[in-house]
Amino acid sequence: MLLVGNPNTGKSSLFNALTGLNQKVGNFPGVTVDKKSGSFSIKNNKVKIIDLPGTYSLSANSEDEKVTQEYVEKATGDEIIVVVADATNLKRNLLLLTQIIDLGKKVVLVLNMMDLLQRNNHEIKVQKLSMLLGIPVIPLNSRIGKGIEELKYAIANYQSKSTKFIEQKTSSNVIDETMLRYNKINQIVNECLIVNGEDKLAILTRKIDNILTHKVYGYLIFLTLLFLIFQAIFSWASYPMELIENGFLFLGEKLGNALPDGMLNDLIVNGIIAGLGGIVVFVPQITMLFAFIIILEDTGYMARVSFLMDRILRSFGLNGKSIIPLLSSTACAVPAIMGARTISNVKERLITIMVAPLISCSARIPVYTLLIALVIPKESSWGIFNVQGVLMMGLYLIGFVAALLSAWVMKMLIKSKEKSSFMLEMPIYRMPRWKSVGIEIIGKVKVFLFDAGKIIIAISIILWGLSSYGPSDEFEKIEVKYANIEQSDNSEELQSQEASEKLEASYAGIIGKTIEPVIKPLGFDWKIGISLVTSFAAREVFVGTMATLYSVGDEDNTTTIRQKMMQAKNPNTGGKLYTKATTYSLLIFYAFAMQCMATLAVVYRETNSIKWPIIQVVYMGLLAYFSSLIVYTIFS
Amino acid sequence: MEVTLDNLKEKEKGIIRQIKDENLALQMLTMGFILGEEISVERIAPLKDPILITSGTNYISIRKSDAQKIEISKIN
Ligand SMILES: Nc1nc2c(ncn2[C@@H]2O[C@H](COP(=O)(O)OP(=O)(O)OP(=O)(O)O)[C@@H](O)[C@H]2O)c(=O)[nH]1
Ligand SMILES: [Mg+2]
Repeated sequence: MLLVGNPNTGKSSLFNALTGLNQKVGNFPGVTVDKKSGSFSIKNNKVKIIDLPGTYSLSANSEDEKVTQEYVEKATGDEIIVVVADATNLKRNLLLLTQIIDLGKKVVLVLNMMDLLQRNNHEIKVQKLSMLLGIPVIPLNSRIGKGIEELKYAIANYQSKSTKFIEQKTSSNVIDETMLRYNKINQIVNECLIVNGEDKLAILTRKIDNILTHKVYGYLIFLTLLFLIFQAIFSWASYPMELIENGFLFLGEKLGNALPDGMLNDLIVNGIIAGLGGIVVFVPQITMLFAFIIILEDTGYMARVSFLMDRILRSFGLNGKSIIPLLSSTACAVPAIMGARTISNVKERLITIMVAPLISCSARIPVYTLLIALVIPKESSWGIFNVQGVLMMGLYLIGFVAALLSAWVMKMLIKSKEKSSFMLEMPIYRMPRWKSVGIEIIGKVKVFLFDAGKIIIAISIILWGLSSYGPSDEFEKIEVKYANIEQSDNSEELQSQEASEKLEASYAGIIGKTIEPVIKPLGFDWKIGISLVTSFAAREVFVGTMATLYSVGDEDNTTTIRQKMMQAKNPNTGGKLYTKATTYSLLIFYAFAMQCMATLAVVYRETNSIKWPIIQVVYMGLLAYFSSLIVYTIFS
Repeated sequence: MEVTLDNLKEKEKGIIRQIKDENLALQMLTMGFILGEEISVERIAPLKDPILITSGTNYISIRKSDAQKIEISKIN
């Protein structure tokens, strides 16, 4: 069974209601951009069901619509195509239906959003419609699942008079054919749809749009909204964060005391616990970020932001539709890059994919927060603004500006004659469904935690191995050297000195030392070098790596990673290692560098070529390197 | 009065007569903007581009360059 229909008619909502899965739902056209299959049972019979991207017709434009078109055309005699129509917009929704009927497929029509039709006081004569179309018609409300049983019944007992909707195509011209269809649809709609009074929902939506798409207020409201989101994330979230941080410190201390001393203790307490703690602590912020984005997507506001931004984005080689992937990149670039499928212009879609990872994502939050705290005291403020918060916002802004400028450069470099357009449906405003918002947030936070968690544990173990062992003779020499001194003087300081010399001689140290000359101009030492290497898998790993590297010599596990890094000394000057210059330079590096395997994999998949991910790594790498160089030079 | 769609001001209406570009015509049709039916301009963005238009229950955005290809007769 296939779910097909115009965009935003509730196909995915119906899919979820039938299968119990949590396919993403949102109030803008083009939420689903790929097929997704599931199954449900009718009287012990398993039925396979595929949710497809929405499309207006079978003459597809964009990548997501092509998927649907292909599935519909290939549908076999056993597959029932369920066309999900928005009951409040019958005429247009029936067009696609009649095209599918004329392909000779088995079709069921679902009239979704019956609750809205009723709220408008309109009515559809369902039986008559079914008779005129010659197919089963099921009224439904997929938000609450009303009508699902009837749909199951219709599928189990499928029957239809297989008639063509329009006679053998008299003309070869698609436009004439479409007009012919509409003429017939008009007659049917006139007979079946009873309109009592005005369309209240549409009127309400226009009223809201009078403000939200206003030439001046529209933009002001959008900026204020972004600012509020930042305030929330970077000030309100600090309370639960402190709790979590202290919790992990406590756990580390207890475990550290309980386990026997030695390397394994180090690995567990300093590598894994500290690394995980470094990620879990950001759950409150990331939850809030996801929540805001999901709410914006669910209300219908995203389509308006696209409208407001189209003109500006166009000058940078992007499209108004690019704003949805770009905004959702603040959470994670991976789904955002897939979301770019709705952009039908190949060049604009490609540029959107290429620049999306420059937008600061949730994986940067741990890095930014840790680094900012090294140089800016928590309390410092400019008037009512918290300086840490302002710096954080600045980094996001820099990411956005860099994305726009890179887009502009690519616009100049990539040649294309393809026409660009911006035809986007404005959905009616809806209240978010809080329960599913909650489920979606939990799902996303889980992915963030577990995906990051897996990588952190894996890398902690590898890193622990690499930093505990080295070419054997080097290690022995150090051991012998300290064994001699220790006989007379066995201070803690000496022990930590030994440990740090060992780290330097270890394999990890050798890696760091090898790249040190390259990154030295940016103000980075070999320890930072190691973390740049490990961060290539995922940026969050930075925190865990730092935890492992700086744990050396700290036997009591009583200090946070932040405190350890603050105390770190520059061996050459004897001053602080994390000066303003080094820290800012590192921040910029993390803002721009392409350090995410998952993103590269999805870029490879979406562009279908190895060329674009490589270009992405190189250009973002160069951008990061030279920006950091400039920043370091200015501040030192 | 026969004009192209980009000449309408906010809240002005017309009847869709002809769309010069065949691809655009088809896309408009499939999005519910049917020849011979009423069309109105809801909102014009700064620099007159893009615009929000409605016809019946359909409500979409469109760029000025496309609006220039849509011929309508204006209703007063
Ligand atoms: N009031 C009401 N809203 C609904 C109903 N079904 C879906 N919605 C809402 O309509 C919006 C679109 O739902 P989706 O399930 O994402 O629609 P879709 O057809 O999968 O959309 P695309 O994947 O973009 O084609 C969401 O905001 C849903 O909550 C319904 O029966 N009644
Ligand atoms: Mg969907």
